[in-house]
Amino acid sequence: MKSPWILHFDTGSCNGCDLEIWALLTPKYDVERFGMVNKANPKHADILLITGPVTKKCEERLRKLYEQTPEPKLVIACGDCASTGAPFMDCYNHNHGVNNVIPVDVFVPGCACRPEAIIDAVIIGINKWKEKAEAMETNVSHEDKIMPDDSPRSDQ
Amino acid sequence: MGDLTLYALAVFLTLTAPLAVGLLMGVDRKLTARMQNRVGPPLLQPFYDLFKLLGKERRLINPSQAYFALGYLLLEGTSLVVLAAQGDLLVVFFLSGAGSLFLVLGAFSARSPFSQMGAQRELLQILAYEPVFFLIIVSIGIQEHSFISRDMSQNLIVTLPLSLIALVAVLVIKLQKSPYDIAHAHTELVSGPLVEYSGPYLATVELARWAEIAVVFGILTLFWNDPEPVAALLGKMVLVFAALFTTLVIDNVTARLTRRRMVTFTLSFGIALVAANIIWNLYLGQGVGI
Amino acid sequence: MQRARSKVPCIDKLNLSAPPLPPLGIMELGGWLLLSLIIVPMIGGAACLGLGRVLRLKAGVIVTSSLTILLGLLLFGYMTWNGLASISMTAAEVAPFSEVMLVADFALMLVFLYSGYKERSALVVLFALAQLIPLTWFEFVLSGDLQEPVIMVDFLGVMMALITSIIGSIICIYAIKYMEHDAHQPRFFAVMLLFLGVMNGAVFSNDLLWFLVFWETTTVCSYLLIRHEGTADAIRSGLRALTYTLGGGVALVFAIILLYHYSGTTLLSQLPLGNAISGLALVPIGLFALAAFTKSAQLPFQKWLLGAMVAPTPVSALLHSSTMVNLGVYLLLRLSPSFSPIPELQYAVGLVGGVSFLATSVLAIGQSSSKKVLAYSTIGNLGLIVLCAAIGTKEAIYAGMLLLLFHAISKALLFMAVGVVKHETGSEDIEPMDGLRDKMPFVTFALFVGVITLLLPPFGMFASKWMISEISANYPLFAFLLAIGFGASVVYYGKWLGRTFSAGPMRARKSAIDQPLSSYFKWTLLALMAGAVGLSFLISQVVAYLIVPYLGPLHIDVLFVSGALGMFPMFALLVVIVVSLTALALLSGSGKAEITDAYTGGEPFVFANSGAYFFSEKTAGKAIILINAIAVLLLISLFLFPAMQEVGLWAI
Repeated sequence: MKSPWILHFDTGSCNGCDLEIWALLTPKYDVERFGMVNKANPKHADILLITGPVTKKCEERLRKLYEQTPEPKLVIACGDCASTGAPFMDCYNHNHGVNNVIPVDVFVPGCACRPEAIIDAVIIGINKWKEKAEAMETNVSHEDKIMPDDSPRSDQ
Repeated sequence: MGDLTLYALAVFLTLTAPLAVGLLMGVDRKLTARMQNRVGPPLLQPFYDLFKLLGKERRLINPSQAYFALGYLLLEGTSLVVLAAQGDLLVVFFLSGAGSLFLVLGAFSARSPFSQMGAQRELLQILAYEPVFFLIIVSIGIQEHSFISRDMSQNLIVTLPLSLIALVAVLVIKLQKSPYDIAHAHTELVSGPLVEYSGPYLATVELARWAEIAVVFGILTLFWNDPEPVAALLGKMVLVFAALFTTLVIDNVTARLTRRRMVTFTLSFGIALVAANIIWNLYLGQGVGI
Repeated sequence: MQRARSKVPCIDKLNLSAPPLPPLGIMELGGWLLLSLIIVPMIGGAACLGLGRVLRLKAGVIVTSSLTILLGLLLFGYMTWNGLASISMTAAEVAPFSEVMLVADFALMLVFLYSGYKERSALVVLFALAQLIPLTWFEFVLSGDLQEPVIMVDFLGVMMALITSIIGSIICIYAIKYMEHDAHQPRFFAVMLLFLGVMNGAVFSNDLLWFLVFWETTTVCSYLLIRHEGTADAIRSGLRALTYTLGGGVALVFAIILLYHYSGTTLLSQLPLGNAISGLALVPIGLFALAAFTKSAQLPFQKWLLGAMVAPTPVSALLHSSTMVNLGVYLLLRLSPSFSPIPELQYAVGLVGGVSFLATSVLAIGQSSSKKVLAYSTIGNLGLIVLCAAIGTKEAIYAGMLLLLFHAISKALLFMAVGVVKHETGSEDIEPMDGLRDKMPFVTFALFVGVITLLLPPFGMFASKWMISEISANYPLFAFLLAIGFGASVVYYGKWLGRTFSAGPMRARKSAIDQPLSSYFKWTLLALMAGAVGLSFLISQVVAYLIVPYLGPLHIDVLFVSGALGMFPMFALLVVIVVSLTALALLSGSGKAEITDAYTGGEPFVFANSGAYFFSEKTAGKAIILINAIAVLLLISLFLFPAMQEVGLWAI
């Protein structure tokens, strides 16, 4: 997998992580080395880079974008908010992390997450790509793909 | 050359030309990255992209998208066949134009805001480059007294320098380069007519686009002819790389124009350039009389 | 007044391809076929007036239309079978009719006078008088006997007759359903059928006085059809059409008289060759061209055809594809050898055609009414034929004839498809056609076939566009007009077709299946679709049996793509494309693809489609004034050059 195309979506982040994601495109980090291109379109994307704790308002949008991304696909939760909800732990208007809405493949810690860490996460994610592609070959039904075993936490 | 050799050559060219364009796209991305002080992707990156897309899930809004994408590929492919068989340039032009129309119809057939807007803009691009492209071919026809590409014998780069410049403008639009990346406009329209294509269908459209660009490059190569095959080949390659490099520089030093300016600028300057060239040649008595 | 015929070299089609004279019996059969092609639709029309009741009217229209189609095919078959290049009839053979024609001529003028008086239009009265007085003088004072042959049909005429008889009849059958709720059906069908007969009469006439009678009758027919609905708008448009085409008629009358004065003939087959005449003798040729421009709605006379869009759609289909406007370009194709050898006239006429093509193609982009788009497209395509006639080489006429034939089929198809939409939904605008393929898949397919046969390779229209492009290398000025026109026509057709194809996710559309289409609509549309595609397949036969008998064999053959590998037929390309498309579709099985939603940035909003029109009516209005001014200048130059040559200011 030498061509991960990226969809970046901000679900209520403070923009800290977003800035770090944009830093990936600069000459210093230049992720195009790995074939990574920001496509801004779920239909072309392979990897979803999600920032922010997923506000209730964003939830539907995020789910929709996820559904519109064709398989195989990876979700990377960038930053502490996206991973756990972090400072918004008990807020009434948040979902406390991307994992509560859509299944996440890789979590990137940090507030804000470092660009190096994001690159690392993508590389880790790419290793998971192969098994995802194989799973697709064995014809898992569409419902299963959206809601894998680690279904959203409902106790929050 | 015998018939068999010619057939083999035509088939070989038709099959390899889009791949060569794919490689050129890789060169393009690498050079762009170097100009921006980046390392850039591997040279074969466009092929990696293509193979990845082929392995992805099939998703469509409705089946007609797929038919139009296939139609686009086949028409551009046929256009390339005619060019590779050293056929009539006008047929090449009209077939390629028909292919572009199919791309537009494919984009229109998905009811999606970005796709629809992209289709409208793609039509504007057609309006901008088609007349210029047509006139370039007519100017070649006037100069060579034939539209059959087998009959091309002159160094058109000497007799039609202004048409060559106009062809670069066409190339800029066809390659979706700034300042004319009106339809694909990735910052505002995501990727215009291609938005609703994904996976293998996107790969089909991408391949068709390579074929379409191969047609333009193919016509570009007609500007250099030499009785010595090696010299001819070298000259043609230099021409292709020079044109690519020019569009690349233009891409990197300009911002996107508005669509209205694209149409007026391309039409007025493109047509004026070709017209000036034709009139100059007629004045010199090289071409036919009015 | 000298009445001796001057000895100028003439285009004599009879001598050009002189066939062995057929025995008398066969000649008579051919003559009868010709006459019946003119008379049968007329009788059918008259009968329709009498057949008041709906059921009998239907039967009457169907029988007449079928008979006309049959007769048209018989004529073609008869001429091909016997290897005739032309059929002609002498004055003696048509003697009973010459009196009728004379009476009809004056009756027509009286009709025009009456219409002008009734509608309070001074211009119409003026034009009618401007025809009546010179014509009376000419008929009774100047010219005594009819010249021979009065009726002559070569393969250009046969092609026109086939277009009129077959496509026109199909339109009449289609109209049965379309007009079923109309209050004045007998009148409507009477005029429609009369139109077919008159059109046949016009293309069969060799004597220009006969031609004039039929020409003016088409004017009356179109006037009656355009104002059929009786609304204020319809009456205004009808009157405008009458004024414009009647003005053209005045030009035609003077052209005939001056032609007789300078060249001593009133026969189409004996028009003087362009390089044999000079000075004021060229004026009648210019007047003929002027008349043809009004009939074919070339710039600056385009307004009447655009206004004519208020008429019921079958009328538009009839005017645009098989009758009326074709008559103008037909006259120009006949006239071509008379003006194309003279560069000044050639460029003046060619530029009118070329500018018409360019301007209408660009203006059509800004139109949101599908019928207006089609009207502009018709004017543009006729402009291309005018351009071909102006260039006047064998290849150009060949291209023009092909264009005329294939344009007629595709344009009729498009109009009829739009008519069905209008009939079912009540609107003919492009915007409400958004997603039409969900509601009317069959009609959308018909539109698609119509547009691609009109635009794309390798269908019939493409063959002629290709040929025109090849020829344009010898006329760089024309190439520039063609270039933008070709691009713009892709834009406006693409925009419209795209609108009809736009559809949401497949799964939401399962319930939306349209009500079954009336069989009148279905079969007429199918017939034309089959015609448009089938004749493109058979294009080499079309050339061999319709065009080569008229023009003789050609040096170049554009039906084949020639390359280093030799020639291969253009249509093989289509077969390859279709076969591989089907094969690929079967292999890839697009049905298996999962249906998804459109990307809207994740938002759940409902998206309303709307087209882009790029410029406003106001801008278009300004442009039209400019373009009309250019066209008027070109028309003036058509007469200025001969006049200047006459007084020695200009050497042609």
